[in-house]
Amino acid sequence: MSHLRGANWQENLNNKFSINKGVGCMKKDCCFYKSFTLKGVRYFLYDSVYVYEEDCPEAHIGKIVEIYKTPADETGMKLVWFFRPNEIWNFLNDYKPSWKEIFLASGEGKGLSNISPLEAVIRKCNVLCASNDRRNPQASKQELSKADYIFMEHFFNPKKDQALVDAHNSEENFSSSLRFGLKKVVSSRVKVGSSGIKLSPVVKGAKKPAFNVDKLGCLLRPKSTSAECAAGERYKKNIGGLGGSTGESSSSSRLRLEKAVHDDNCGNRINPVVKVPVDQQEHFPSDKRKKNEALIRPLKPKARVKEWTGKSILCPRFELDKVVGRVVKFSSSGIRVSSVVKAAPNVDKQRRFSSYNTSLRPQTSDNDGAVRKISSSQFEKEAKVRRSEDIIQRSASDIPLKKRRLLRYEKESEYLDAPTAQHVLTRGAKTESLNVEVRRRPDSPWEKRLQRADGVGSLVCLENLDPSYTSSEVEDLVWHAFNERVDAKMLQHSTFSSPDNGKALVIFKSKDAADTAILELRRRCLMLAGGRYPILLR
Amino acid sequence: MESTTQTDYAAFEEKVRRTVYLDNLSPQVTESVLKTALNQFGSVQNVQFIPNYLESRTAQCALVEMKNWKEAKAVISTMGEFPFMISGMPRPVRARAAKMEMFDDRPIRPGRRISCRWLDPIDPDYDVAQKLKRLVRQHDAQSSFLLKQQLAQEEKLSKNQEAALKANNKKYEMVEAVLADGTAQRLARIYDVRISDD
Repeated sequence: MSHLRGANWQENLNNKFSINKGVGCMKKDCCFYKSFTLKGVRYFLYDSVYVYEEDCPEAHIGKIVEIYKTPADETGMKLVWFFRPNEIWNFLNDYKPSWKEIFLASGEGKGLSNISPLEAVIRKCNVLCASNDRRNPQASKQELSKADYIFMEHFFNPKKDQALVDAHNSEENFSSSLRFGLKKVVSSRVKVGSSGIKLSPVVKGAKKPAFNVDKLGCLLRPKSTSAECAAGERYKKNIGGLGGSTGESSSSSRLRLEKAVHDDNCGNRINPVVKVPVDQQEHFPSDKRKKNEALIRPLKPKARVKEWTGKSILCPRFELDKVVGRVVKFSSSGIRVSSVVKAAPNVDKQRRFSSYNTSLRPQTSDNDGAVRKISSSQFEKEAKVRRSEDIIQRSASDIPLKKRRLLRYEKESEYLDAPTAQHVLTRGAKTESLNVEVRRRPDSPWEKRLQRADGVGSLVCLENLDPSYTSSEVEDLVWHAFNERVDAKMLQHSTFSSPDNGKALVIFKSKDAADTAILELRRRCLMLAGGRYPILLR
Repeated sequence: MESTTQTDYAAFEEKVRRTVYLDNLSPQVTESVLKTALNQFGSVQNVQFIPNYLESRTAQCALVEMKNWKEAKAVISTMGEFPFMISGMPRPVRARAAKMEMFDDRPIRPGRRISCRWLDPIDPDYDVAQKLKRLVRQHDAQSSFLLKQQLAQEEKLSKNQEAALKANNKKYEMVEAVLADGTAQRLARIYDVRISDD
């Protein structure tokens, strides 16, 4: 009882129930409980909770599947883990997890579930199952938005399967199931409202991913026996003790299960679904399936052990025998946060912006010509006018980009053809930059120019662009916004670059030009379509 | 002209699909090393290292173009499952599918328009814009800080390992020296211990 000191622990004797567990039960004389109270909060069986681990910045999320007390008065709980996408990133392949999505661990092996002390619980976590199955009551949008996390797939560790497969079925299709893959889970929704917990009665059927048949009739999990994952077993047993109503439903689902297996045997083609997309429309044509198989190789056990024993440990007290490893963590955090914050205002901005564009569109090239004339006459005085004209022209033109650029050159030559003496004098630098044509000098590679520019101080980093812009588009953009002819290069995306923040290196013609541009962008804001506001930095 | 840009773009998309992005490469890795290392998965068509202008890290990353997307997929899945080392350093290489943004010479997406507009300080959107700008700066600072921390940790780890290696080496040398110059025999005689295995 030593490790309970300090915690406000209170047994719920009314709800106490003990089950005679069958073979494979570690703790023969344990009492099992339906709930416990810690620091004034009551936690129930099958709650999802945040769990604390020393030296781990991010709390783990687990589902309580057992609460027990040994005869020696030691308490503990068994947790089945949810994996964050970054924890199983290596196995996701092409699967794109949605926002807030986590994966329920299943199968056999280390790292899927742990015994941990009750005090490790931090607080409840609202995990909602959003699986697209008819047996799963569909969550409303509101519920989805309220949930801390959702899960649709379970992460399947097929270690145990391998033996079963070898024994029962040598069909080659099975090999695909040996791979760490994502398979659909039909799971009951465990709703955690603010009021408390509802355990929906189908828990058992739901926790059996084995017979998940999707709309297209693909059997998603190959074999019922192999699907007896650790979690599933626990659920079954525990639910059996919970009461009549659940027992009934569970038996009905068992029937269903058998039927599915039967079908499966008759058809004796099991779909080797490696990755099932969330929307069920996608169908795997058989040849594609074959291809998948060709790529699939069963993991060597050794490698897997390495993978799974990477992370320790929930609490040092239980370290000795009960606690098993935790999955290796990939520490690539920090990026996730940025995208949401930006997303919200974007919608609004975009809408506004598009209306702005349409209002300008009617001004076609005729109009342009007029404006252009005006602007060239007032060139030196009213840089602003010209700038706005550029913008108008840019947003109004429906001409493809290349053509637009051509137009631009024409325009420039106009300036050059009819230059007033004054023009040349006042905008000496500018004209000079025009005379030196934009054509890349083939003898001067980018690296060299970059170094020189860095030395002179005309190198600037333009940030917060749409990452999909190309270098030439950035050059166009700078020309239109700052009236400067520049060399630009988008920085190539790499591991640590933010997915939302496109950066470009821009070489201005001179240090002064760079300074002016930076000042200009500090004084005012340039807004790009999609609500982006570029930043210039040296 | 429209059609050529479109075909260009389609060709580029195809190229992206069969390209693998390799990260965490040791600085000693060169193009030829990469080619030999990856030719076991198929035939390497092209290797391009991604230059790193802003971040302070030593690991390189590169884009490796394979012959087709199947080979690229094989590279990614194998490297995802087993640690793969190139050039000896204790630095398992990571492989991922390449993204368009990683390419230097990507063509313009056909039919895309960029529009922009200046916001003056009196504009109602100006404050929003400033806020977002600050946010971007903040995120940038955060991520670079994290990266720095991570690099520091890596540095620390490698120092520890080096220290451990040195210590072990020293011990072995000491043992050898003691055995070589007869000190061990002398001590054995003094303490009356048999050390020679007969």
